[in-house]
Amino acid sequence: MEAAKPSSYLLYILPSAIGFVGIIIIPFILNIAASFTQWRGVGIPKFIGLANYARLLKDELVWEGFYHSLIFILSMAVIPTILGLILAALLFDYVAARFGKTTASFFRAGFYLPQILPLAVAGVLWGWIFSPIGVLNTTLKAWGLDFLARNWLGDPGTAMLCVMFVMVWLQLGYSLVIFMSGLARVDPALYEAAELDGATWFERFRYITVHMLKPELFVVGLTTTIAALNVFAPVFVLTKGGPNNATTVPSLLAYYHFFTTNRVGYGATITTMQTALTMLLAYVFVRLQSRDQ
Amino acid sequence: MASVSITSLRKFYGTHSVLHGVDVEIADGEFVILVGPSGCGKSTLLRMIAGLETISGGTLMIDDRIVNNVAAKERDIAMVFQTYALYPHMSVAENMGFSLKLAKCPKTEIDERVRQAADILALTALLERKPAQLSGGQRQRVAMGRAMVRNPKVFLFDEPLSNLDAKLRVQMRTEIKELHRRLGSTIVYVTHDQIEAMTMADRIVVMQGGYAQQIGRPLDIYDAPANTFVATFIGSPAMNLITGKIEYTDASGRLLCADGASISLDDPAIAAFAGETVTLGVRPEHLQLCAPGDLNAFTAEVTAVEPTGAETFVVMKHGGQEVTAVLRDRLAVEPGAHLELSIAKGKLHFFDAKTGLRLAP
Repeated sequence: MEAAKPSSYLLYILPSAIGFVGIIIIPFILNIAASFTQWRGVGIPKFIGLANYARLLKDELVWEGFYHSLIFILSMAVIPTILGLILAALLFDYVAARFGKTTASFFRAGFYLPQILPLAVAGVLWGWIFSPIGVLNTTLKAWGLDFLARNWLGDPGTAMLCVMFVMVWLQLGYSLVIFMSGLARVDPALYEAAELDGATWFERFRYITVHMLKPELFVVGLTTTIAALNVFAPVFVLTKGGPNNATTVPSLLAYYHFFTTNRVGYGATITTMQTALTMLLAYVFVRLQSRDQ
Repeated sequence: MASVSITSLRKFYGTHSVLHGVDVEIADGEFVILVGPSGCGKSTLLRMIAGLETISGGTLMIDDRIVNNVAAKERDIAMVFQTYALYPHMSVAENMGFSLKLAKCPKTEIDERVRQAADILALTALLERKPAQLSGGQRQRVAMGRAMVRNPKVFLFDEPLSNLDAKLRVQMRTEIKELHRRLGSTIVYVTHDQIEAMTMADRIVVMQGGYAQQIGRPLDIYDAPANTFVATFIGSPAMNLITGKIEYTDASGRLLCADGASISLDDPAIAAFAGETVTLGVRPEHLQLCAPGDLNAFTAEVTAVEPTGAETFVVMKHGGQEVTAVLRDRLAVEPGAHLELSIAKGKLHFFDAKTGLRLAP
């Protein structure tokens, strides 16, 4: 049989290529182009060079947003990854071994539940819980802890902590499920060998689990960090960036400039900066992973 | 080093019993091999000794200490796994020294003990490599080295050669035996390969269906198998088993097979089984070509000829039952030919036709 010419294979990737160019590449280029203009969303954009970038560098609100992004990296990537890893190991080693795989699956599904809830529903749910007359304050008062009750999402001192807590709740299931599937492919003999070598549970976790789950750690670390840098919906639903910008993030600011002040060019500048940071981070992760391999 | 005493050891998974009460005494420094087909319970027994499986009943002692409820890491046992179970992210040296590191030994002591084990196993040049950069035989040696550096009371081997090719397996057999001689260690070794068991062990435990069928020195088991299972499992090709009724008159006898074929038998032992149905066992190498009418002789039809170079395996049918002979001569016969065979004097084995248990000699 005659082998097909390599060029004929291009035909097979054409549908995906058209979608990729139409949905990703062209809007991406247009967004970069818009960042060099002054444009209100209608009419002809006016080229203003790097003026939007100069403004961005001096915009304290944007830097505050990026600072909040770092906090979201903590609550969406670092904490869920560490907690997910420990919980996955506990479910796999302890719960599944002692109470059976069905019990472990029940907990896994429970932790994953927030991932399948629509964000709007989750936002409304937590909004109720944190409301001044919500479940949290009612419970605190019922226990005689009235002095702790407050307007959780309305107080700049606690709003970010509440949003962080919700983000951990939201993200934990994602990392947990990936780590548990990773643990399923690890040769059980490695754990048995470590046990015979005298390792405690924590030593097996430290020396075997963490190392064997490195591919999953890279994937979870990268995807959750990107998600943290681009976070929008949960913050929008819970606080809209308030109170007094205490929870604002670059995506919210871009949204604000795109659709409220109609400064489309400046909004595009913020998202371009976000994209650059995300790509830089992805590059660092991929380099770290390839060096590790 | 230590002795291991296994008394009425039982294992249940729920209500399903896989070990029904096994008794084995393993002396200090002895090399004992658990051998049997898949599912016979040999690996379960080994894992119970290691502490990787709970003990449902009976007693397990290492030296004079009952260890039924002692955690694996407290038993001072080292195990070489079928898959080697080397830590892929650690170098050979780190793999070998891991247990010492966990025991918080000084680094100089770890290095020294790893170096000593590496010298013995010819691994010195490979100490900085990762397991993925090693061949199967080298990984096998690293797994043994990891066990050696701990200087444990008992070494356990779980089918360690089954992932190696035939040539390397023979080489590693010799190396493990040499290692045992050098270290004088107590070894419990699991395999399904009866050749490994025969060539390496001080004593063999033949297992089937969760029972120890026979325990003894390799050649003792080969020469006097306790039942038809052991008779056919130990030895390759397997012992021939021919079932028939013993006819004994005027100091001579024969075995009458179901289809009327018979084998004349010149063995005083058969007098005791006159009129009974027995299973006659004959090792393939104890069959020889003979002239018609010789003692212990019978005729069989050739169904296959398998020359191995040094020997020729001739597979035949007699009385509707398959018989294999191992002949030193190179034989030019075709399937369908008839051969006259006799059984070497004093090489008959008699088993109960119903229970399979050895009757005589």
